[in-house]
Amino acid sequence: MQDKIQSRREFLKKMAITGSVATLAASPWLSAFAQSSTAGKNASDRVRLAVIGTGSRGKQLLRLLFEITESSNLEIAALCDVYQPNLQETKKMCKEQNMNPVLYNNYEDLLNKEKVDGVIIATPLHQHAHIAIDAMLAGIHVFCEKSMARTLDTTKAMYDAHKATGKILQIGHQRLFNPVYLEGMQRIHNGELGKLGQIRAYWHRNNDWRRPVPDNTIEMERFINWRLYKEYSAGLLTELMSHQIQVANWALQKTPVSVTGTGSIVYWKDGREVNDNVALIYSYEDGTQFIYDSMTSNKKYGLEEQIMGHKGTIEFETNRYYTETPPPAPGILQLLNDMESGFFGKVMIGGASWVPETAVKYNGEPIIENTDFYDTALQLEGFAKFIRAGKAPESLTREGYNASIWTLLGEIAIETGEKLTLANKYKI
Amino acid sequence: MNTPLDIVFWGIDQALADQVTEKVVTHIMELQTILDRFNSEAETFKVNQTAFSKRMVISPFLFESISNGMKYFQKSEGYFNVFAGKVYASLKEKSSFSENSLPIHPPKDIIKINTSNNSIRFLHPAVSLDFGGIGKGLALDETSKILDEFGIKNTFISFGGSSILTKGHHPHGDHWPFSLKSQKIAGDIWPLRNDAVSVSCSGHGSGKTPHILNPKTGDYPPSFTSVVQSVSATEAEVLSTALIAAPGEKHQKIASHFNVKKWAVFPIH
Repeated sequence: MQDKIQSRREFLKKMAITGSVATLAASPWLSAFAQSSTAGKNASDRVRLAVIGTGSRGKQLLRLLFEITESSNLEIAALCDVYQPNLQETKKMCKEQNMNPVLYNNYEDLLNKEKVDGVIIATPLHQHAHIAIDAMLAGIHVFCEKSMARTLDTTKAMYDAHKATGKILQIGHQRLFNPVYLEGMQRIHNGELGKLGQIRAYWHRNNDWRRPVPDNTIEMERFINWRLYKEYSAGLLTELMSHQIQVANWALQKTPVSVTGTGSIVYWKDGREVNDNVALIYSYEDGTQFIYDSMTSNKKYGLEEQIMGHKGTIEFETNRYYTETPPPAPGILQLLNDMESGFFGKVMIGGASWVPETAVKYNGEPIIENTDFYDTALQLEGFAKFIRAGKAPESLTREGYNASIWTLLGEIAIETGEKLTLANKYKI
Repeated sequence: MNTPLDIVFWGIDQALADQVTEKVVTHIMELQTILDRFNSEAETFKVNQTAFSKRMVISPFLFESISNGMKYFQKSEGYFNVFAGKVYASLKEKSSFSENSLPIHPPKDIIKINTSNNSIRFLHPAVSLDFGGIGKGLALDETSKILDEFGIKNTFISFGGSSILTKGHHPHGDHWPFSLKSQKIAGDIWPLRNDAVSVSCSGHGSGKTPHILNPKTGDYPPSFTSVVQSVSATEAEVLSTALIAAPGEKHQKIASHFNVKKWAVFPIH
């Protein structure tokens, strides 16, 4: 895996060095990858990190941190979780890597006792805000998984704490570090897709989302299956859509001006509170739209973000670029090559064209050739680089903030059935 | 027409190539707004909706296309029929076919046209114009006129690979050496010089639904590819379609009615 991460790191470095003005303006965090790909080896250069929240996502982040510990000169100094089974599992994982982080059950103890440079927060959503704010107030940089927080007010409070303390607040939108997205965004921002008219996105799954509960108490049910209860989560919106509206905002280089939506529980009528299907429309000031839907009882269409301009379309999740003007037929390309090389060869192009009323069959082309995704590792590597530099591009925080705030406003639009605009107090 | 249009020029500068291309594409789009039977804004769509209930005055181009459609019905001995769009559609949906169905009626019995004022009226409710089998030929003949207006001497134009128009010759030879792309029947080279070629196929195999039917029986014809070379793209288009629809024993006689340089029918293996 390290070789592939290195390959992707080099891709980002190349893009950081050769990217256009428009590219670097839309994705300034790339500049962190323009310098040397590995950190200094000295202990004084080492970045000390703690992971707060060691559930499934926390474990995944930890595994990726193991992959970049040496190249980024990291130390995993502490782990924290209120749930002992997860904490002990991650302790064992670290031991297998010859690491011995200090374990905590209380994040405040960790912040008080450990001199860490940064914390990685992978707790349930409703716990993000107070942990992140306390960390920044303690002088510690923060990487927090998306979405930022459970409410509009706590999301804004996190942002305000970041501004007041000057500490890094990086939100875990890994697509911001994904070579496919970065290359695609470069084409979008350089105008290759022309004027964008609509962005469509969806995320369809056919699964329960419910996890096994060790005992049958209500408390443990809500503790383990926090994604299903509105007190802790906005369900599909905060867990899935927040990624995709971030992509839409990034592509358009704008935030929406209004949102309307609907949602309901149509299949998983098992006591959960969050919707199992949602549909929303976000409008932007120039008239473009972000049209979104998500469900958990059919997975035929999977997930996608479709960026549609008058010159072309990008589908990021499947790594496809489609021009509105398909390239010449192979026979024509051969003819052009022959003409240029002075060869008088036959033009092998004749064949029946099928049912001319139907759309042209054109399979597009890959945005980049290799689609191994190690974007989460790269964004953690970016976090280490930003810590070492003492700051991160402000737009990185804004991407996370705007995705989160508009996701939460979408939830309110669904609940009220109204078309909503964002109150000025939440605008940044 | 939702079909890729590839245009290859040589011996002219980029500015002229762009100018000619724009003119060609614009004109083809204009033809589309006349000949499209699916677009509710198109003249053909409106005629199909209205011409049975009342007489309609139509554009000169559509009137000429309908007149030519009547002529080609005769020349193809009824195997090329632009007036049976509705019937073809229902046949493709596997509806039953009877010998009393519309396609075998001569157009003069089911359409009344008045050349003095370009008016038309359908005399049967099932009449429905469908230029799908001739549209690209009409478009390429119009394109040929534009190329002549601009003085273009050498060009190779492919409309989806099935309709080809050439002017002059390849820069490294005295003609354009056209061939089919199928390796199975690719051996023949057809030298083209100011010629058009049309390729039609009955479309069996590979899960494709045949789009050409025998209008006299409603049957799907056997798997064949037909190729026709003519100075007229429209003539080539019509004959290549008729050769697919008609039984083999009729081919020679039907082809003799058309102004073509060469034609061939290949089985698809």
